[in-house]
Amino acid sequence: MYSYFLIFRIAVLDAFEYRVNLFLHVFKYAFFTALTAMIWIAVTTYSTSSPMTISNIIVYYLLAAITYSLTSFHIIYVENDIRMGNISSLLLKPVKPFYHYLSFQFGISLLEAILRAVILFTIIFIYFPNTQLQVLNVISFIIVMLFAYVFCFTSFYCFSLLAFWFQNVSSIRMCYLFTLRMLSGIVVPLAFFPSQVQNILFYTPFPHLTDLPTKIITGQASLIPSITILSFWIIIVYCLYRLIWRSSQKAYESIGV
Amino acid sequence: MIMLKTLKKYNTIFWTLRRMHLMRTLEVRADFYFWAIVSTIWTIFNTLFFVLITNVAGEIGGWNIHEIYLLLGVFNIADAFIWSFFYHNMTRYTQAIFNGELNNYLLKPINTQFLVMTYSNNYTNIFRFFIGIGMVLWSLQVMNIVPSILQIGLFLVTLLLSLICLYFTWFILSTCAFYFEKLDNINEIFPNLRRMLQVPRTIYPGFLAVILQYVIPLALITSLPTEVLLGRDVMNLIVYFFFFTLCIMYASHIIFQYSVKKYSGIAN
Repeated sequence: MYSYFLIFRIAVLDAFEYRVNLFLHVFKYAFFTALTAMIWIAVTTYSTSSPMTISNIIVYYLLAAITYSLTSFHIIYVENDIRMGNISSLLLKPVKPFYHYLSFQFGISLLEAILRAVILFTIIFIYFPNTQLQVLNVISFIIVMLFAYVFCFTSFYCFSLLAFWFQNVSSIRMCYLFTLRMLSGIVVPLAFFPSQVQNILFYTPFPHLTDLPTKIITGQASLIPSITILSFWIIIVYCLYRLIWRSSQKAYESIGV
Repeated sequence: MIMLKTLKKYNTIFWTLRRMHLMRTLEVRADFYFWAIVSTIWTIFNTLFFVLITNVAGEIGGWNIHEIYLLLGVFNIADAFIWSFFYHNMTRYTQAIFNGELNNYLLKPINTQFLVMTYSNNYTNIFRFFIGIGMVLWSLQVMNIVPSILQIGLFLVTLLLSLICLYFTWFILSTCAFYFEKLDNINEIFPNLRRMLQVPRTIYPGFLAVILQYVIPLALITSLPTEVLLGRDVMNLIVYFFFFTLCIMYASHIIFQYSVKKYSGIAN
């Protein structure tokens, strides 16, 4: 367990090595959030039937920026390690590659999420004082985001493992990432989707990655259903990962590394 | 005569590089098809975003639904260039500064800025380009607009100006990599600003509108060519945009010449 903590620590220290780059990485989503909020201001000016008020939409996107760090990331380094044969060195070490990468990515994502949270919660407190952020809801939000992170990482990892058979799998992973972003509510709050679609989506893991966590933190949704559904999907993707990993070990050859 | 010869030489280099990258793309065809699917899916999701928005309100910033779709069509054309050309070259450029590979560019007997800005490209976004053209044609048909030859010519000129302005502004920003170590994420700024290109320039309020139209005219990149097709009177803005683009091109040259003196190429 301690070795995984060290990997987590290395990821954090690595991110801090190039601070300007880290700053840009943390705030690149800020432009997107600000612009999307501006579009919604323009839209709600001409609309009388919007399911959310403009302040709710802005708070939603600010909170979604935090969930984005923990659910929407690129683990291209896993594919590169497999393709270049670097994963061989991990196979020889007394660590499991899955947990190694899980800890490493968690270091990067958590750091990014914390930096964003500090800034964005300050903005919410100053400009949207009516937003109800109670301690219990914040704790619930943290718990559900941990589940969301594990689900997202495991599912991305399954796609990355396909690199054992195919030369370039980042395109397949990106197809999944775009679908995840659309259906989780990062692009558009799910309240704007037709109600039948929302009902169906509820049983998939996607709304529990962004849309419902933003409702949990503002006290509009309960933690239990999200955790139950996410746990179920984590078990599914974890079993899938084990299956792919076992067959990949039979297919893997590393020559001249 | 000498200038004509030089232009011919640069033209040959430009198209040789395109051919080279086409051959490279065709080498890994499955990857090309997958990325083409990714690009198409992204375009569909992005359009879906605006379909959902226009379900809520009939118009955005005074533009009706079909005008917005026309704007999105122009955006998709511009976006195809952003991902096929600009992003690849600028990523390569900032990485080359960091790892010392810029030496290879500097040693070539041609203009370094030209080589840096035209070296790389890919063809996976070609479907996005065609989707964009399709959306433009469809929107014009729905609105019963038949643009004149002059309008089409002006549309192509403004679109070209927009792409040049965007690319040279991006280049200036990426040149900051000479001053900071490892600045890969600087190339993520423009892709994240693309939301700005998907909406009409009229949505920006007061002071922000002035900045985004005259100081950093990102709001004009797609709005201006679209307004030309819609037959709106934007001649003054086109003239302004033309001179602004010339200034940006010149500024990029000066900034690059100045910054390249800071380069030590140690990592190489």
